[in-house]
Amino acid sequence: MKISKYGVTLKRLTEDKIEMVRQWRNDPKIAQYMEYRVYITPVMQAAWFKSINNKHNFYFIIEFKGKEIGIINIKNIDYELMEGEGGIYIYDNDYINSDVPFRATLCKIDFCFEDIQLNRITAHVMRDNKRAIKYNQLLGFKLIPDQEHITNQLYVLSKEDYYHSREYVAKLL
Amino acid sequence: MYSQKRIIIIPENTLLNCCNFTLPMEADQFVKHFADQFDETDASEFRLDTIFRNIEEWSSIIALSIIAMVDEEYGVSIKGDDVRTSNTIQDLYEIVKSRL
Repeated sequence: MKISKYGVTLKRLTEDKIEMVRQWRNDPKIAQYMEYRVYITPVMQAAWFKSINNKHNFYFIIEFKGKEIGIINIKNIDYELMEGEGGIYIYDNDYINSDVPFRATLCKIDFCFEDIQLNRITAHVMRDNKRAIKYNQLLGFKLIPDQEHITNQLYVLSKEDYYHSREYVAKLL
Repeated sequence: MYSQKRIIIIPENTLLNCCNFTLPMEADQFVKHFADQFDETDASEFRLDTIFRNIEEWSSIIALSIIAMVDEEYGVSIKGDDVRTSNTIQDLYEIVKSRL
C-alpha cells in the first residue's frame, strides 16, 4: 500500500523493513521522545509488528525524494468511535526540522479522514514538549480540558478543524 | 505669518554614505523579520551569518513560519527546498532578494 501526496510517499510498513525501523527506534535521538524507552530486540520487534499489522493500525515509512526518512502512523483505530491515535518521527537529520514532517502528516491525515473515514484523531503529547505541542496546534489539534496536572496530555483533531488548518499549511508547502 | 524656506546643501559624500547604508539596512530588516519567528531565542543570536539550523529553537513550525513571513513581508514565494538548501540567514536573504 502506497500513498503519494504533498511531495511525499507513505509506504505501509512491511516485515522486510522492521529491522531498519528497530534501529531507528532504538537510537537515543528517537527513543528520548518515547514513553516506552526499553531497548527493543529483534524478537520484540517481530512481536510488535505481528501485533500492529492489521486494520486497526497503519504504520507507514515516509519516503521523500526516494529516501526512507521516518515513520508515521495512525494506531489503535476504533471503528465504532471512528477514531485513532497519530504519531510521527523523522530519523533522517536532513529532514527533522523541515517542511517534510508537515507533508507526511497532511498525507496521513487525509488518508485517515478521506480513505478510512475517521471522525477524529487523537494525539498524546508530553506537557513539556513545546515543539510537538505547537506542531499539533498548527494542524488544528486541540487540548482536551482539565489536564493541567497530567504529563502526557491528550489532544484531539476534528475533521472541521483539520480542513481549516490544512488550507493554510498546504499553501506553504 | 509665513515661514521662510531654507535650502540645505548636503555634501556629495554624505549622499554616498546614505546610499551605502541602505543595502545593509534591508538585510538587517530581513534578519529582524527572521528573528521575529522565534519565541525564546534572544535577538542578539541572529546575524546574517547565523547558521539557523543550529539554533536550538529551530523547528518544522519555524521553517513554515519563515516561508509565510517571506510571502507576507516581501511578496516572494519560497519553498521548503529553499530553506533546506540554505545554511545561513544570508543564504535565504539572497534567495529572496533574487526573486523580488
